[in-house]
Amino acid sequence: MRSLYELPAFVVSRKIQDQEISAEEYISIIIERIKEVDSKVNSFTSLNFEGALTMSRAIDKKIKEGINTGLLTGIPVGIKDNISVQGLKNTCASRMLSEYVSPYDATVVSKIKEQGGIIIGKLNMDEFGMGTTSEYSSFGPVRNPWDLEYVAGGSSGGSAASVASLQIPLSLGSDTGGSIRCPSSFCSVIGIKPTYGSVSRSGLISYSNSLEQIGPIARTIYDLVPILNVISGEDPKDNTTVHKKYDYQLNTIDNLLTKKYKVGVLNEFIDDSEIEVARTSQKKVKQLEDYGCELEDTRIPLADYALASYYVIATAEASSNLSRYDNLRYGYEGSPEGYEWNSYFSESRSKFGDEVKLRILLGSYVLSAGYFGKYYAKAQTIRSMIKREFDILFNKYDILLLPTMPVLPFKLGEKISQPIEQYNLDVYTILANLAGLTAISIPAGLSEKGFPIGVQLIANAFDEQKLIDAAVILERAEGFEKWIPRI
Amino acid sequence: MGTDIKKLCALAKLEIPEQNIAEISGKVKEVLLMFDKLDEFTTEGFEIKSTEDLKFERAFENLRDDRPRPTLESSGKTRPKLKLKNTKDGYVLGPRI
Repeated sequence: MRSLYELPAFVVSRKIQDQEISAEEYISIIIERIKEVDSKVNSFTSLNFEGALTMSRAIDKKIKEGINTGLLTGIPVGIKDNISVQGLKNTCASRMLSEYVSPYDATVVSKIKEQGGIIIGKLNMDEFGMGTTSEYSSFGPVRNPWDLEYVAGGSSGGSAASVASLQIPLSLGSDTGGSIRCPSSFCSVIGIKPTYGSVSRSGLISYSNSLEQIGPIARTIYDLVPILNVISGEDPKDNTTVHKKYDYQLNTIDNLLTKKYKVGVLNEFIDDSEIEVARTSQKKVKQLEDYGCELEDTRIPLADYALASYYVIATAEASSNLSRYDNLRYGYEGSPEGYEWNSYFSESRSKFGDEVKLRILLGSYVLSAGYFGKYYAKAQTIRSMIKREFDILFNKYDILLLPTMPVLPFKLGEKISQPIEQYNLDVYTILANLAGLTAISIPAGLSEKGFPIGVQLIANAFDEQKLIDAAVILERAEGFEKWIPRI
Repeated sequence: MGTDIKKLCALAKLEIPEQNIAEISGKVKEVLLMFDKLDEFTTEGFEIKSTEDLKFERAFENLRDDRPRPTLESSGKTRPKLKLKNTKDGYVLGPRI
């Protein structure tokens, strides 16, 4: 018999609402699981066990009183450590914010709580979301549950690894250039980057405002959709959110067979990937075809310039965003008395990690007088042209298919001092961020040595429903929710 | 680049220890070479001639009316936790300018 922590969230939530088990009982089991497993994976930065137990008792009480407790009743949710949770540390995995406690909840966190979700803790990540491996963390690297000597992907490595290792069924991450999809691919979980403007970013510690988006990670699409419905929606605290009805559905296979989605296959990206990644992606193409989708090869001509454009824009925004850490309002201990402003500010910022410093330097460079036109203005032009290329593609196709990552997970430390090698790994994921589109990473298979491989689907802005439909098909085709690492 | 990186550090207000200057300088150079890919970009062959074939299925209400609401209360649970250690007479103590 499967333990409760192995079951999908929607199954457990139903049991709690039907009073087959109590929320407190379930949370206690989850706490034991985290205590047993996380010392190996290192996916949490701080834990909220007492708070979670208190919230679970309140939910049990409401259920007994017949009060509706919401879509996420009794379900523990882990939150990436750059999303604010009132009363918990919000460190962004940085020494700069090591003692910072958030005084308020991010809008997404408030919505989860309103729907009966229980915040179980904060999750490890690359410092300020800058990285592809979750090695750049002041808490140490997140380890891949499929092999603890390998990277979990990043920057939301803790969000993906905690779900993959059956510690929690749901988590939130943030995605600036693939930070939800990369670790989802490396850990064999399902993660979606929602359309820019569909989920509030209020309470997210910004790294690159025009690119980033909060999104959920789960083991099955049937768990992902309820939390996506909960967190989506307009928010007066975030003026980039769009007023629209968000009501994603889990359609039946019979219903989906009639939809006959047109899928554009980005074969150039598939061919440029490692052989096992390419082979697995082609298998997914075949599965979609078997379920009635129409497939055609296509390409994005400007993709060659996307990586440089992305990193110019991301580092420029990072250098501006991180200038707020002056060690007066936030930061570590240290008295400013006797210092001159500039020297105090510079010395304070030495507490940033090496990758963050590198990106601040690059951002300052590309924004400096004389280089603005050469880098930043050109990058923005290319960005808008990439968006127009996608507009044309989505006039023809419902969905685009490509690998999530060009490579399999690699060993910890293997690429830690090689920024370009790491940046090149983002080449398939940054496109959706540059164009503000929605994209999902779905478990696609395991390599011969047992490492996860993910396939990525991109859809037009606010077409999340098409991605959900395709995920239902692919989950049905292979049952990926049952691929669990032995840890 | 050795001197340039020091100038860049000053511009970015970042202190990099002397022993790390060579390493960070190498990394900055490497990434800037990648950025130089943008120099190859030309709109020729990429420019979209017409947007007539584009289909916009939905129109969104991009602009909404102003919705006045009270400001966040400045006491109780929403009060930011300032580092009270560095305050003087109720003000945050900063370095001299």
